[in-house]
Amino acid sequence: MDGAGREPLAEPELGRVSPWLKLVTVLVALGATGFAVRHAGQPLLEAHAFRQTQTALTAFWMMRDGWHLAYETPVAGYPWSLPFEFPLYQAVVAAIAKLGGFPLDPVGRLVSFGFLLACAWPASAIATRLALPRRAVWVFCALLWSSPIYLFWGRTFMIETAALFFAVAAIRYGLELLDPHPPWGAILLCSLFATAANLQKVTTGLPVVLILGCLWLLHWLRHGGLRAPSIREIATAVCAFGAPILIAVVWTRYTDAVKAANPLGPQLTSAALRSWNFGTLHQRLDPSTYLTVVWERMLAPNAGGLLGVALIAAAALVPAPVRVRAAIAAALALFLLPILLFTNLHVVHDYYQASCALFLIAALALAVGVWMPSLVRHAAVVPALTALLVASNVRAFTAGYRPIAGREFKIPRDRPLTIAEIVRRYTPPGTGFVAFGREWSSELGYYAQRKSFTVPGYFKDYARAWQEPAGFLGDTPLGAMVVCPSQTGPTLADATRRLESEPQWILVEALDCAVLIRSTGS
Amino acid sequence: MRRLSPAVAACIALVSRPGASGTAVGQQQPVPAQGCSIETINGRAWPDSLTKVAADQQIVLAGWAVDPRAHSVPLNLQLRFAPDAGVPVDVPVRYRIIRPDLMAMWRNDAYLIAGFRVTAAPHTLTPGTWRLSLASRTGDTPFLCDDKRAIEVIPAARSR
Repeated sequence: MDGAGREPLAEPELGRVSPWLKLVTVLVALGATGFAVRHAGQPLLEAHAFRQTQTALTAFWMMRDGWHLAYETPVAGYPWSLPFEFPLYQAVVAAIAKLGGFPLDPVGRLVSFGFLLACAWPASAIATRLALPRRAVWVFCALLWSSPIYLFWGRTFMIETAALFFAVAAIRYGLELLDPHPPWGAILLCSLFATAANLQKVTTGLPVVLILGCLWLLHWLRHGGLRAPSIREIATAVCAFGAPILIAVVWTRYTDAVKAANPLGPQLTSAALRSWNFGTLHQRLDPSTYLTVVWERMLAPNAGGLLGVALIAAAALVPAPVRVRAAIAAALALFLLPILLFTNLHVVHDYYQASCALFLIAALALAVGVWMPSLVRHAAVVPALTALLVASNVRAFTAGYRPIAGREFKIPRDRPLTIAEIVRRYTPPGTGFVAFGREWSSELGYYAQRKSFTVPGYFKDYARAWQEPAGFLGDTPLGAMVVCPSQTGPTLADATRRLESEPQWILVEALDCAVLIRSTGS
Repeated sequence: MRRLSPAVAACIALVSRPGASGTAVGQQQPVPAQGCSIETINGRAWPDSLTKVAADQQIVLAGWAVDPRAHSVPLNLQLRFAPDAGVPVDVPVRYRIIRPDLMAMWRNDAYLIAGFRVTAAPHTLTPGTWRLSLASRTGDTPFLCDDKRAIEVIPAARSR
């Protein structure tokens, strides 16, 4: 990672890549793309439907009503805006779907997958920057696109791969800042991509910016000692690392202020979610955290298990060029820091590891593509080892995520789709609904194409939401109410009592839920 | 969703529930395909003979109704009790049940909520025979479906 030490490794043919390695990587790319395209039309319900449909709901209303800074995610009542991340990915998806007249679900999935494929560009540039052999990039791409975590989450309607792409692109330009006189273009592009990563998903971008900043500081200390920094050096640090963090803080403050106007918003501000986001010291000290998150979810299925651990450990510990060991150490730091910072999120959500598994794969690619050939000179060793690790990935994917990605969701078997279809068909466009027993999931709202207050059991004014539902929809007329089983009620009996006492309702009993539809009269 | 042509839909409907016919309210035009069935009374399949109902007993009727012309389910549905002579009595049908079987049979997602259940109190009806039908007047597609069902309301004392 030393800008001054960019001389190539002591290898005669730095750019030569085995055709077998290329074949393995191309086959992986084709297989992954085929898989993503084949399942692109799957409803967004196969895993973490809550988050997938929340993202899709934003894109849907962006298509309908246009782009706003205080963008709408109309699932938590009037005034509908409930911003978390800055909606870059959602805007790209909405624009493509609207301009092309395409259905939203596959566009969202394929854009997400496109960002995953696009990670090859900054990865290749980083390898060039570090004067690494080209085969390391091919190994990296083969492992990245065959890893179960990216094969699966890379094709979901999520912001993960977009944020990851921006973060890796920031690294690509951040490394240029280690030069004695980095060009302003690199500084600005590093700042731009780091800002995009932070805004798109701060839990992905922030650890990368922090480590890039630390690397830059260490480099400066190593080469400048304790001398006073120049204006240009200060400007570089402020622009490349300070600005992205500052902009992320300002955005978070802004979203908190916007959320405050929403019925549910005050319970979802960054302050209210602090312990949810960061977790506890106990979680960080608990070995089961690392067993589950690092081993079971990442190393075992995505990095060849014990073989991968042995390769990375050997490459980092056995004498090797300092730059290779430094690159592996930096990759491992980028891999581990998000887990140490946002521990609870990583424990609770198995998709959060998409923010950092790429860096574990990068460390493994360095071990396979750079370190191993320095040990074993045979030309077949890298393609063979890569193929073995890809086979391990595919095997893990087949046993894990593959059946989930193939699940079918159809009316009338699937509850969210069925309830949403009833609301969509039998309530007029422009009306909204209030739902109970679905937490504050956007599944119903997205597939019903209606704005809603989907009331979670912990909402502070829960009883009033049942008694006066229209009061939470602003000027959007109440078209329906949905009651699904929950510990907090209301129950199907409550819905029936409302039917008996209020003549404007029609009750549809469907899959343990009751849908009260407001009759338009005859 | 592909929809059946009216002729094919009519054939399927006749096979599934023969013997009923529908007419549009007001215009008295025939409904192209059979659109309703009152399948059960008090949880039992409808008997062939005229069903006798005591005036002091509640009755629960269940079945389904669709409007094949509008390819939808009439939401503002009324269960109509029509005497041989006199004024019909309408009971609103406000409890709906999903019917995946009908949705699959007609290949129309809109028929998902075609099922219904309605509770009626015969004490509002005078003793005698009442023909049952389903009526709706929603938007431009007023709908009346005669399922050829009838009940005979008998005085409460006779039923004991």
